[in-house]
Order: sequence, then structure tokens, then C-alpha cells
Amino acid sequence: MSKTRTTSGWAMTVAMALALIGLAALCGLVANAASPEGLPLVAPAATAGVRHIGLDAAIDAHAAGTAFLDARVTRAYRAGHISAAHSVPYAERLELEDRLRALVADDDAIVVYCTGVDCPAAARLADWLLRNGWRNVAVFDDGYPVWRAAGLEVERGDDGGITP
Amino acid sequence: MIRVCRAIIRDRRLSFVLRMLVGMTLVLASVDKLFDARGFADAVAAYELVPRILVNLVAIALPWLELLTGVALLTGFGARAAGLVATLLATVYAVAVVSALARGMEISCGCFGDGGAALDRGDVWLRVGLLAAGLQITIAERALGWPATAGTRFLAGRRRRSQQR
Repeated sequence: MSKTRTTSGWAMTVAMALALIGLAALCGLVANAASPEGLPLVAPAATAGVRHIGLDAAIDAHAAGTAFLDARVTRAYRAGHISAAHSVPYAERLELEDRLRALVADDDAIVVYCTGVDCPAAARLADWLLRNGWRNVAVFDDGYPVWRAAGLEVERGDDGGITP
Repeated sequence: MIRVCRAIIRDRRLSFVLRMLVGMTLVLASVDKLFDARGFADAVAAYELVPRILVNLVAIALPWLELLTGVALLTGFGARAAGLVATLLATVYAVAVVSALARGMEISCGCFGDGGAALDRGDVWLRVGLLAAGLQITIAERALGWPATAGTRFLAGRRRRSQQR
């Protein structure tokens, strides 16, 4: 008798836990649909309008003095970044927007990078840049590890100019 | 010794304190994510554990799950189920943090909507603590928590009275 009662108690608990998860998903979907900042339910695979460049094009752009933006977190930037790159961690883009605007004009070329192909920060920062007025934005897909592995110029520390 | 452990695991006063602590932690953790779904989606994606097409769904639902679970723990409504969900969440977070550290990733935790600070070992201990607390709550609390228990008792009392009449 007591055994069946315990079992049904656990079944009830699991059912309530599942109901809680379902309710949360429902709330999230409703709130997301109602919010003007709502996310697309399926993340877009790639953003239209953002160019994707490889190592060779990145080297050319770097030699031409194009602005490089490092989308990784500040700690990763401090530990080492492409020389003359500016630190714009994706999460801090809004605080850095004014300084970035003063530094890079709308029509200036920008190259954004992070830690490589699977790192979403660079693509998202590029997407955000395009939505906020900058027009000439490219993502260096291979990112910092490939740049460093190729023996190209890197720097440590905080001399990026718009690092907070 | 075993008896003492068993008593601690079943202790309702301890589970009350843990419920308040875990509940407040979850509610706090959910607030920033609810207001910055896009930022949280990036934080989730940075772990490279969730397939890209599911990242946004996770970022949409997870903050609400934290909020509702936190509120359930604080109010005691469905306390045992909420404890179970909190245990589940803590397990998932612990695995995510440990795997990110093991892969040497320099990413921000995203746990309290924090943008800058990168993950370190200290982040693991909070998750393990939450996991232990969640387990204790799940074992010690009643299945339905106080409002439902009180409601059942009230109904049972009425039924008994009406039978007497």
C-alpha cells in the first residue's frame, strides 16, 4: 500500500516537473512573440549582406589599414589579438557604440573576427553593425587562432583604442 | 552516522532554507536573460553544445523555466517538482561549465546575464551546490507543497463535516 503511494507521489512529481517545463516554454514563446525585440525561433544560418572572408583577404585588408574588431570577451582580447584590432565584445556593443561610431565611419571597411568558424560572436556583431548603419562589414571566419598560427602580427594588452 | 545523514536529507527546516536560497538564485539569474534574449542566445551559442537551430528556442524558454522554478521554490507551490527541475537545471549547467572549461574555452558564463567575466573554476562550485540543494529539496519536500496540501486538507475537512450532517 505504502509502496504504491510513494510511486504515485513520484509520478505526480515528475508530471508536475514536466508541466513546469511546458509552462515555461509556453510563457517564453508568448513573451517572445509579444516582444518587439523577439528572436526568430530558428536562428538564421548566415546573415545576408555580411561578407565572409578567408585568411588571404584578411591579410590584404589588414595591410590596407582596415579596422579590425575583436568580438571575443575582454579577457581573450587581452591575452592576445590581431595587431591594431579594437575590442568590441558582443555583449558590450551597446556601451561601445558611440566610441565605435567616432572611430569607424559608416562607409569604412570593417573586419570582424572571434575564435573561429564555430564562434557566433563575430557573425552576430557583423549582423548588428549592418543593422546599425555600417555598410561595409566582413567576417574573418577563421578568426584569431588561424591568424596566430600563420605567424602574423599579434598584440597583447589593452591598446585597442575603444576597449572599456 | 547514516541515520544522521538520513535525518539531514529529510530535514524540512533545511529544505526550507535551501528552497529560499535556490529560489532567489534562480529568480535573480532569470531577470537579465528575460530582458536580453539576444544576448543570452549568444551566451548559449558560445558553449557550442546546443545545435545552432535550437539556440534561440533554448534562449527563449530557459529564463522562464528559471523564473517559474524559482517562484515555485520560494512559494513552496509544487515544491518537490520545482526541486526536481532545479536539480535538472543545475546538472545541465554544471556539465556545460565543466565541458567549456575542459575544452579551454574563454567564454562568459552567461549565468546571471553577465557579459564580460570569463568562466573559471569557481563557477563549477555554485552549480554543484545548487545540484546538492536541489536534491535535498526534492527528497525532503512534499509532492504538492503547502497550498495544495492545505487545499486538500480543507476539502477533506469539508467532506468529513458534510458526512457528519
